[in-house]
Formats: sequence, C-alpha cells, structure tokens
Amino acid sequence: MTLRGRHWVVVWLMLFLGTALAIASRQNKALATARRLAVLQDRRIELEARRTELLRQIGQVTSREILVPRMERAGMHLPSESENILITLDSLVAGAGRGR
Amino acid sequence: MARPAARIVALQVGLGAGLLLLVARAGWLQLVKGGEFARRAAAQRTVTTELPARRGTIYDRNGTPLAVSEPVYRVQLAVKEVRDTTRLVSRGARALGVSTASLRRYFRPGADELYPYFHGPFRESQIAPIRGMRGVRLETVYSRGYPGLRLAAPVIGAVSLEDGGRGESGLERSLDSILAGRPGETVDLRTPSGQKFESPDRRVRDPVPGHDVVLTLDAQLQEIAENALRKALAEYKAEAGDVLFLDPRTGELLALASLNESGLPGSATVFTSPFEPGSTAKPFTAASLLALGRIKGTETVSGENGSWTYPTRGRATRTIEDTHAEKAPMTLARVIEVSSNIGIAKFSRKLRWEEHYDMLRAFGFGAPTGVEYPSEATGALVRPDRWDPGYDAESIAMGYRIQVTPLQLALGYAVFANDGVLMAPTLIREIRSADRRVLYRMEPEVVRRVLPVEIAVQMREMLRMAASESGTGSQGQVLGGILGKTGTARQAEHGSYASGKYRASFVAIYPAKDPQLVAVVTIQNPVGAYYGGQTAAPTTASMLKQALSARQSVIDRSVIAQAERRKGATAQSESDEDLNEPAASVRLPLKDTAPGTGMARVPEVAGRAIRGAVFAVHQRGLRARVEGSGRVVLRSLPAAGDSLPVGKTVVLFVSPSRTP
Repeated sequence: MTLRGRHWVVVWLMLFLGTALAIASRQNKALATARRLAVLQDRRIELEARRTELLRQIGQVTSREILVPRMERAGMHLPSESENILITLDSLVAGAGRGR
Repeated sequence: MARPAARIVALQVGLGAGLLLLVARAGWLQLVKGGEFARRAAAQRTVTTELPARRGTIYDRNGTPLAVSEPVYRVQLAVKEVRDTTRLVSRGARALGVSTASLRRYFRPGADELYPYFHGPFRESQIAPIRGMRGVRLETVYSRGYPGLRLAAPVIGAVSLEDGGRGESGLERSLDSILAGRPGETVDLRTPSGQKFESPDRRVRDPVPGHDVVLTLDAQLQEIAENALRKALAEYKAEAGDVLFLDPRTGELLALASLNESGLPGSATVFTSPFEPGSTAKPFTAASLLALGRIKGTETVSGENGSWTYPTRGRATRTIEDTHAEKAPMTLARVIEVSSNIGIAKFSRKLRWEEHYDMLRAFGFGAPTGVEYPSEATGALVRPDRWDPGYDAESIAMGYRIQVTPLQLALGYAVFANDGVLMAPTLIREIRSADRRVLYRMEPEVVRRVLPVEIAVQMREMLRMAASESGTGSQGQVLGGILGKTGTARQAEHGSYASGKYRASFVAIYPAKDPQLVAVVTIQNPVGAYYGGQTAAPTTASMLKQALSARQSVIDRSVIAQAERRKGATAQSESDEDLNEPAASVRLPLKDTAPGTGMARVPEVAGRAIRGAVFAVHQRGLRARVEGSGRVVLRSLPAAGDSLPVGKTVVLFVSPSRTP
C-alpha cells in the first residue's frame, strides 16, 4: 500500500502533536518542580528563622542574668571562695587508692 | 511631457532609492540598534530579583553563636486576593502591630490602596499567624540576630538592614568582606501587568553565603564581665567603666565590656578611649629601671614622710605627695607595693628620658596594637625632646602625662606574665567557610621581647606583694593567688585636674603561678570609695571567683588545684612559714640585670614590603627604623645574617621599587 498525500499529512500531524505533547509535559513537570523548590526554599527560610528565635530564647533563659536571681529565690547562692573546691583527677585517684 | 521611457526610468530610480532606504533603515535597526532593542524587549518581559545571601555567623571560642544571620520579613497585602477578610484583619493586626481599624480600612469598598506594604521587619513568630493566608505576600530579608543576651555588643558592632546588609561598626565592619556573602540573582518572566512567572528556563545565580568567624571571646566570661561591671557601676554610682580579660600567653582577648553611666553598652572604649593610668603605670618604669640596670643592690630612696618638694626650673618648685606616708627608706619593690608616687618619681630620675621613652614604647604604649577593631586609639606618649624638665619624666613614672587604652595596659602587664615577651592581641580565632572548612586559624604572634625572663619574674614578685595583705590590692585576692596593681588617677576636665574626680583601676595577673589571664578593670568617677583597691580590685576578684566556678571556665582549674594542694602540703610540713609561697623565688632587693642578654640574627628582608620586613625584624626581638621613602626594602644595616643584641635597631633602607 502506498501512502497518499493525505496520509502523509496525518503522519506529519501526528509527529508534530507527539513532539508538542512531550515538550508540554516536560515543561509542566519543570514548572511543578520549580514550584516545589520555591516552597521548600520558603520552608527552609522559615525553619532558619524559627531556629534563630529558639536559640535566642535558649540563650536568654540560660543566661546568668535570668538564672542567678531564680537560683537566689530558690534559696541557693553562687559559691563563695571557701566553697570552691577544685578537685583534680590525680587527687581522686589517690583518694580511691586510700579507700581500698 | 516626458517620453514614456524616461518616465519609466524615473519611476525605477525612485523605487530603487526607496528600496535602498528601506534596506538601510532595516540594517540600521538590526545591526546597529538591534542589541539595544533586544535589551529593551527583554526588560519589558523579564524582571531581575536579588536573592539575599546569608551573612556569616560570629561564634565565641566555644562555638556559642553571638551574632547570626536571621531571616526577617516585610509584608505586602494583595487586597483583592484576600478571601477571609475578618480572619486576616484580626490576625494581621496583632502580627503587624497595627490596630484592627487601620487594617480594616484597606478592605472597605472603594479603598485606593490595593497593595499596602508593611516595612517591618517582622520576625517569624510575629508573622506565623498570617503565613500562608491568601493575599499575604512575604518578602524575606536577612537581619542580624543575637541569640541570648547581646553580648560584647560594642565590639561586635552593627549591620545595616539596607544596602544588602553591610557592616556598620565594630567587627561587623572590619570583617565585612569576610562575613558578607555574594547575593544571588534570578531573572523571571513577567506579563505587562507585572505578574511574575518562575519559568524553569529562568536564569539563576545562587547566593554564596559568607564565611563564619570564631572569636577569641568566651561567652560565659563575657557575661560575667558585663554583669560584674554593671553591678560595680551601680554600687559605686560611677559614670562608666571597662573590663578586659586577655590570655597573656597568646594575646587572645577573652572578654571585653564597656558600659556607660546608664549601664548600657556604648562604644568599645577598651580600644578607643585612652586614659591616664595613674599608679598602674608604675611597674613599667620599675621594669625599665631593672632592665637597664639602673638599680644597684639594696638601693633605697627616702619616702620624705609623704610630701616631697623639689625645684624644677628657676625658682619654681613642685610637690609630690603620697597617700600613705612612708618614713623609712624604700626599695623599688616597696615603692610598687605601697604605690609611692615620691618613690617612683625619685627612682625614675635614674633613667635618661630617651631610654625611659624607648622602654615605654617597647611595652607598646603610644602605638596602635593592631587588634582587628576598626577604630583603635593609639594613646599618647609625648616624645622626650618635648618633655618639661622636672615634670614630665616624674609624671610619666606616676602614670600621668601618658595615655593608654585598657588594651595597651593589659598587653603591658601581659609582658610580665609572659616572661618578658609582648604578644600581638587578637580577636579572631578561626575563619571557616559555610561548608565548615577552616580557612584561617590564629597562631600566637610574638611582637618582641621587652624584658629578660628574670626581670619579668622580678616584676611578678613585686606585683604579688602589691596585691598582698600589705599592698594596695589586697581586696583582689582569689583562690590561686593574684598578682596586681591598683591605680587611682585624677581625671582631667577642660585642661586641668578636676577636684574629686578619679578613675579607679586594677590590673591583675591570674593565677600567681603559671599566669593564664590578665584582667583590667577601670571605673570612672566612683562616688564614695574611689580608690582602685576599694572598687576595681574587689570587682576583679568577684569576676574571677565566678569564672572559677563557671561550668565551662577559660581558666585551667587543674593548675590552680595543684598549686593549692602544694600550698596545703607546705603549710602542713612548715606551718611556721609564709603560706603565700611566691610564684618564683627571686632575690630582693632586686638584681642588677641588663636587657637584651641574647643575640639575634638579622633576617633577610631585601625585596620585601616594609610591613613584612618590620614584622620579621620584630619577631627576632630587634627594633626597626625605616630610612628613605617607598614601599620596598632594598637592604638592611646590619646586613641579613649578622647578629646583634636583642633590642638593638636594624635600619631598613626603602625605595619605591625593587631597584635602587
């Protein structure tokens, strides 16, 4: 069977449509990926911002300015010099030896 | 009437000319103006957006973040896109800090403003309730956030939110090229109405984050210093104050606090504000006398019972007084112990002016230290050819007519702590790239040897006595023993010394054995108790006690524990002996020792830039003097490889180019 003129037209038309569909599908995928990327970037920035805020809160509540008054309200105090006992590893080892 | 052939020719010529004009115009448009029109067309259908880069984080020496890049937001409302107006108004008013009424007016029929813009900037927690709502557009900008308290604020400095976040002051400014990243860029398609399309084919240049900087500061010690200084200013009703902690072995700055009268951080006056140090400067004259061998055996001077009047020029006289009158003759060590003005003024006369000046310069006074802060003050040390006979030499020995910054003072004392070697101060410990690669790591940098080791040891012994029960700094004592010197300098106002205005100070070396810290505390115009020994010394002791009991201390406590154990053992076996065993045993009265006991080889400096050459000469413990003009060193005198005593001068001959 030989292809007549109108068949060729259909073949070329199908070929064109197939190519156009492939391009459109790729573009759609790329657009969807770009949108997902933008959402993820926004999310990353949001998390970064939350992390900084949490760091700030942690820094504040663990600062001496906050802790020392609370500690004093709870009846504790900063150690005085006589209460500051420095223990070294070798003294601990020596103490353990005496115990045995 | 022309013949038909002629008319045809005329028509052809006309048409040909018209065609030529068209071709020429098309060529002009395509070839000459084509690029410009293409750009104009692209500008109409594309929009370029800058992608902000994260600014590097500033950490303390233990990895605690001190300044971080924090995303903050500006908000725009697209009024026509909002669906749930009531919810947006109630949540948005709280988030944006405006009244509900003012926000609601944007949604009234006929309202002009369709895209109201709220500059902010707003933090994440503020905009969280309206994030994701239809019609709310968020624009991200990077701001500078300070986790915890804003520690070392004047030193770290500030960043401008505008202009891409440039460093405006402090380290943010001096390290701007390191901290600032490179912003990215994206080119999006847009419709004539301004709507953007994030096409997958768009051109994008990713932002490059800035480098992270690890400082030498210790966040815990910094907080202790700031709190203690704030408390001291309140307690003594003082105008301002400074605290500085330095590691004398490496020159690393561990804590820097500067507060003004309202208890708020002002500028970094530890670097920028020179003052007359008063008695804290006396040890430098004492060290100069010892280093140059001007004190013989048990040499003493009279204390003049607390008041000494001597002739100056012509018939003029000057009277120097001591707070604690000394009747007995004083050795140099006793002069430092009781902080005698008369004693140090008398002893200073044994120094020639030039050598007195040279020794003070060798300690680093009158010159910038080179710390990485953008506006460091040099202090003031007048050249000896301008000294006033009978006044200046004696005044400088007492700590007047010389101005030093707290940093210069700390570095001078660090020479005593570090066996006579002056170290270059630094604030930068490490620089890391965003992917954690270390790009720079600080190496301790020796500036020069100022004193022989034995003189430094003698000075430490003097400072131990000055901080003992019999000295002026007894209130600064802490477990592990402290070496130190107090100062109470009169304050100058409008060209003369103001009555009742003082700057109290204390410089401490801690612990007494194997020093790890040099601390400087200055308190400006305390009310009531104003002596350094009553104000600055107890403040120093309080900070050191807190640092000792801190969870993560910069102080190596094992060294102190061992020293204390040894002291305890000595006390048990020799209970009748002095418990305060000196850090080093030296003969008192003081030994006659000349400076520069060692020899140094002159480095090869030919062809090097002046800065590098001077640095190389200083590293060998020699001094450098530059002769000629230009940037490149041609040769040195003595020549490279020759040896000469440490402390001697090498002349560097310079020229604008490498050839003479």
